Amino acid sequence: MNDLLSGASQTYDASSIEVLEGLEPVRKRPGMYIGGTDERALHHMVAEILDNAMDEAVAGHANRIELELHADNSVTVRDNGRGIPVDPHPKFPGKSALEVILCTLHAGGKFSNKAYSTSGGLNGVGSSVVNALSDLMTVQVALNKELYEQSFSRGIPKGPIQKLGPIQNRRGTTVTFHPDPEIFGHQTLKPARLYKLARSKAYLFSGVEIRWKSAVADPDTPSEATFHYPAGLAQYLTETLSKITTYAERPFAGRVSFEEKYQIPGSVEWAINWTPAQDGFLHSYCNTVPTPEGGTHESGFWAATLKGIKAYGRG
Amino acid sequence: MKNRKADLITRDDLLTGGCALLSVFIREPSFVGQTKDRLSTEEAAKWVENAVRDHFDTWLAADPRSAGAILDFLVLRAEERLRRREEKETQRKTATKKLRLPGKLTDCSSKTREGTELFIVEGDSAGGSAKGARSRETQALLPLKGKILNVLGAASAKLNENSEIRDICEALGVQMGTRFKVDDLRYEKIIIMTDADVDGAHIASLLMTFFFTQMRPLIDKGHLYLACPPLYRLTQGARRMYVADDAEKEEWLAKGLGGKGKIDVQRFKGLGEMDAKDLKDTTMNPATRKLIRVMIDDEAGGETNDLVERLMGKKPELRFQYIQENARFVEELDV
Repeated sequence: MNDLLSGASQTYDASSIEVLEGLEPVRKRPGMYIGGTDERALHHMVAEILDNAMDEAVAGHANRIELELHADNSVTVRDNGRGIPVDPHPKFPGKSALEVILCTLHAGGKFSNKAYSTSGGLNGVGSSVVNALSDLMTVQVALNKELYEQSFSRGIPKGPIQKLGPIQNRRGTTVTFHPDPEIFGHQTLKPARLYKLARSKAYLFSGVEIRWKSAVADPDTPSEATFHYPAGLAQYLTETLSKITTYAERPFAGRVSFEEKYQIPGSVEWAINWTPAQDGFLHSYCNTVPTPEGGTHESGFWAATLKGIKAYGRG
Repeated sequence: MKNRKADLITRDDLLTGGCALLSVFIREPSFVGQTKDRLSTEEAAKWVENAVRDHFDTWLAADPRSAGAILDFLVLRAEERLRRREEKETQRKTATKKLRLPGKLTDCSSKTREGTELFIVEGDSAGGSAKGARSRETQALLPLKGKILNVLGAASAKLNENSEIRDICEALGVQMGTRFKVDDLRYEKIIIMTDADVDGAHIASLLMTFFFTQMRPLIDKGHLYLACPPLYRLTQGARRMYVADDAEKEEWLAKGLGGKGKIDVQRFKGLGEMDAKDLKDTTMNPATRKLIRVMIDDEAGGETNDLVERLMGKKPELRFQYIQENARFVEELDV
């Protein structure tokens, strides 16, 4: 107990400084963390928060996610996952784990590497970066039948975490944030882009239902929709190609768990069909994040199909 | 033997008409590439291949009718491709005889298109240091004199007469408008390299407008890039470094470079002020440079068209209106 106390008071000063310094570089040089301050970066903010909710879903803790675009250019992402922990963080007494997560950049080298390797529109930079670049962020956590709330502005807590009271039949995390105009100017989030983002996450992970809602008028985008693709990529591909002729009635599709096949974490899912009606495409993803430049997973996929069709032709 | 020509099929044939979605979940993936969105986790290739392969064989065997149709289709595609290549080769033989390259072009020596780059540079002086900085084998240079014609304000006859535009077309080996074929491109990457100032930005936007209106597929297929030359050189004693913008400059000025004495700041007025080695390290060497790939937002394709017309088009009132509407967004003007 004594050890714990003395150890704690020692880290207290250092930690408080670290939090302040922690998010400052993000605001100073947003490009290093989200690849710029353009429209792509702005939408990346939403993808980031959505990816956190998706992580909960992929890990099997959530099956419903809501994405809502509000009229004032703020966004709410809600999941029914485990909820970000709210108890005091052992290393930072007086701070909730929630606050530590949202106000501290992740560990050094790995983080910067990750941020770099994915900054072109991919994820992995953490919700703290979104927090730093939002002039208002409010996080609600429903956990153990209690509702908690904490708000931040530009990465700094507006006050300690609040207990809003008991709550039934609900759990999970709700994040609402408003991208800071100081960083992003007057650019606004585009409903069409977020709609597609929400839909892609749903077909990439069949276990999740994503509800979309937008208060921003756009003639080409529904203001409400529910995405759920129990049959995953195959279902989405069939829908996409429903209006054109295809050579196979149902696409060649499947899913293989790497755990079962190779005893390592991971999986692969695919769907392909051939059509004389249009040019082909391959949309590939890694951990639900698009990989427009392809990579090793695509090579493996084409190698398999190429060898397969040649072997079949040889009979 | 279902189709003896199956061996002709290549990966490219699979993709013509093959509509596919692929999603992997792996732990700690790594990414590379100019925009860092190509998966480079090596094991993933084998994992995916082995996982898909068995299923594919089963699937093909289970539905011989679909499998046969796909096989025949792919063989057809392969044959078509081979025929096209043959035609093209004969064409090329006659074409190379006639191929006229603009006098200002410093071509690269590579015989194939793969890996080659054409730098379109602003002014002959920049062209000079770029010549020393380039890789002879893969990097070609085309210096432009001053600002090119704004194509949105020009009639097509004027386009054909404009010597700068003709030089670009000849250097690229392509024609404009509907006769543009992305396969004709003589280089894999077209890189616009202008000074990091307002004039440079203007020239770059004129060039982008040209490519956008006359050679759109070149952008769609990801061949067009912008080089990112530094704006400042900071020197402190023996330490020296290049920075891209004011924010970064301030940061280093505050922090110091680790050398002795005061920090000397040189602002580059043009690429020509840099010596070849510096230009190579900062802007041209693929291993150390940064490039911006020019892309058109898929979802806002129509918007892009509209905006280009408004900003670069013939009607000043539209431009004026846009500036009026958006002026409040612009906080800093570099004039």
